[in-house]
Amino acid sequence: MARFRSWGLALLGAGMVAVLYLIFLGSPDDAVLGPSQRIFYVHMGAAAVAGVAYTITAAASLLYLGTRRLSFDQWAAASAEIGTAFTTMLLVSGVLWGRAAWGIWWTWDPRLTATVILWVLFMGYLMVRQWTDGRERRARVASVLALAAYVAVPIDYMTIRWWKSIHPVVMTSHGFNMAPSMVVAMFAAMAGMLLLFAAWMQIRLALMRVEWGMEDARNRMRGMGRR
Amino acid sequence: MDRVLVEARGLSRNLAGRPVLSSVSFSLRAGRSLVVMGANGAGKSTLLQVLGGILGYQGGVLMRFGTPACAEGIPDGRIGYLGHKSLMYPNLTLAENLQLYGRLWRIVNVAQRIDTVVRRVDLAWWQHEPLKRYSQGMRQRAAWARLLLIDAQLWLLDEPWAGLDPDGRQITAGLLRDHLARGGGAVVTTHRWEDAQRLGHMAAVLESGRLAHWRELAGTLAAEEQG
Amino acid sequence: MQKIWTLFVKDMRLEARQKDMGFLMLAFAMMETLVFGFALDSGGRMQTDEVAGILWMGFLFAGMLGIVRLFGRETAEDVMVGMAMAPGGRLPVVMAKMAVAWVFCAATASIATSVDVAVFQVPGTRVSVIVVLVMLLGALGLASVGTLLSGLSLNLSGHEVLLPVLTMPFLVPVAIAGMEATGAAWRGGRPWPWIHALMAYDLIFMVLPLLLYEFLWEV
Repeated sequence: MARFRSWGLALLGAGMVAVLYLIFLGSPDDAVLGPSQRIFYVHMGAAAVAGVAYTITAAASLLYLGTRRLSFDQWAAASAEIGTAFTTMLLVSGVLWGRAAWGIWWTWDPRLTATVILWVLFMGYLMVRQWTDGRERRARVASVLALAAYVAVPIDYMTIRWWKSIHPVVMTSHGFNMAPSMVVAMFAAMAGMLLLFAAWMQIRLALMRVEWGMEDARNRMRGMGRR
Repeated sequence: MDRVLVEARGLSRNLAGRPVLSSVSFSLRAGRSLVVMGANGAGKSTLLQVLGGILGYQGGVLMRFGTPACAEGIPDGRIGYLGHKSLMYPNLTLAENLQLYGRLWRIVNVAQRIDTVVRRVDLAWWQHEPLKRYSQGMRQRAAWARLLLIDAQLWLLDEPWAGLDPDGRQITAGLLRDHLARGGGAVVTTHRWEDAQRLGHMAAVLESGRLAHWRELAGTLAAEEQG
Repeated sequence: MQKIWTLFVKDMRLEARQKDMGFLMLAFAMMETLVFGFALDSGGRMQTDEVAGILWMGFLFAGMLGIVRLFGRETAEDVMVGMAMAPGGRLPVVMAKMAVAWVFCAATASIATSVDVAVFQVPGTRVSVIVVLVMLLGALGLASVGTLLSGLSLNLSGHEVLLPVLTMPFLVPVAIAGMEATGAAWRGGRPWPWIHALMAYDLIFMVLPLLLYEFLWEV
């Protein structure tokens, strides 16, 4: 297991270097936006991870409610935490890019608003987890909440297609609105970020199992002390 | 009289990773009562709530009226539950509360039934007062009135004599006796050994999540039944 | 069905006696109009969109007030346990609460609309069929989201504080769609895309509690 993990981390490191090469050297400047275009790759990568992470959270929540196995709740929690971190990255990179491309930091565009709502929803999810005692109760409440909050994910994805938004649409049914080398860099960035997510997820789950184990040990000791 | 009302085999339930009930087994036939004793926090209330379908359970088998009850906790109208709270609206009068419950349980001839039950718990004079003006003991009597009204076969009584005066104790003890004589069953929790001896057919102590120290009782109740 | 109706009538009767929910929401919405009237004090200089914004903000906060109290009558004496144990199970209990919340939200919304139109007197603002429809749909969104979250957080410690924070992001889409639709209707624009969005959102959050009601109260 440890061997597998170090190999995985080595692969991740190499992949990250390759992605950085593609982003900064392997793809051209944008004709209009210049080098600020390169923010976009990070942005897309973060978006892909956020979408995947929340989907895992929702699926794990559904599985928890179906089976009542707490390991699913651990998956949901870990994935939501990491997904929220990547949504933060998504928002920050978006703000920076917006400043470069539109000349403003922020606007209440449907896409931007929807993303902020999504971010707040999952922050709320994490807060509720923090404030709720009792593993089963927390798992049940959090699962229902995750499923409700997940509604915002497809809405967020579709905002730029349903409403008039100033946010660019990159992926359309007719292909990509970009140069081929940019498409390569974009997919490489997405793959790299997903690898990062997988590694992070593994570490977070291991950490969470340790946290729970310590909690159990503490409870057992307390029980012994009373007897 | 030999019908089994409720049967548990290896019933278990965890809370916050700690077992509250672990492997509770018993069966209760019609016309019999089981008194559950135990220290504070031993899980007596939890046991009653699991039996009543208010809470779910995680392991084992629970049979009610000869059919297996779902692990999620599905309520059953044939069960009457008396908890620490009255389960009635403080801002409605006793009569209004009972009307509501009568309608929910689809009791025919509600007005007449209400009249009978409030007389039996000796609250006839007070039935048109809002419950919030009741004293603790009167509220407990009101809860008993609700229990009588819905005409359940299985009674789950969680410290049913808490806050009652000697008069109230005698009245409600009589009510329990009548219920058992008519072929109903009851699971009762109490702290007082005298109550257990007076009213139970069987007694057991809930200790670290299981029923132990079983004892058959031939208390006053059984004697009166024969005499 | 009979259980839903029984529980619904019961909540209305309690409202008549205590006036602690619908009445409170309405009073809050009125206060809010009053405060904005003082603060802006603009006889006719305001835009239709601004009136729509004020209207929905008031509606949103009044709705939140009601949502936080939605199960408040039951918590004191654990009445929810008694209701859930009654024949018919928990689904009718959830549906009755949703209906109660919807009636109170809709009443607050329609009265607040008429009052705002009368107070601000901005040309173009009026109570039309479309605006009433938007209000009813908005009330439905508030009621369904509120029932889900209020029921969910019922037994959590500190739910009075938690609930508003939790509910707000879920209600923002309702408020945005409602605001835009109302504004568009008053400007003579096209409110229908927003009304459709509102309908879709309502539908999702009406179905969700019905799917998840089993998990709402236990533990």
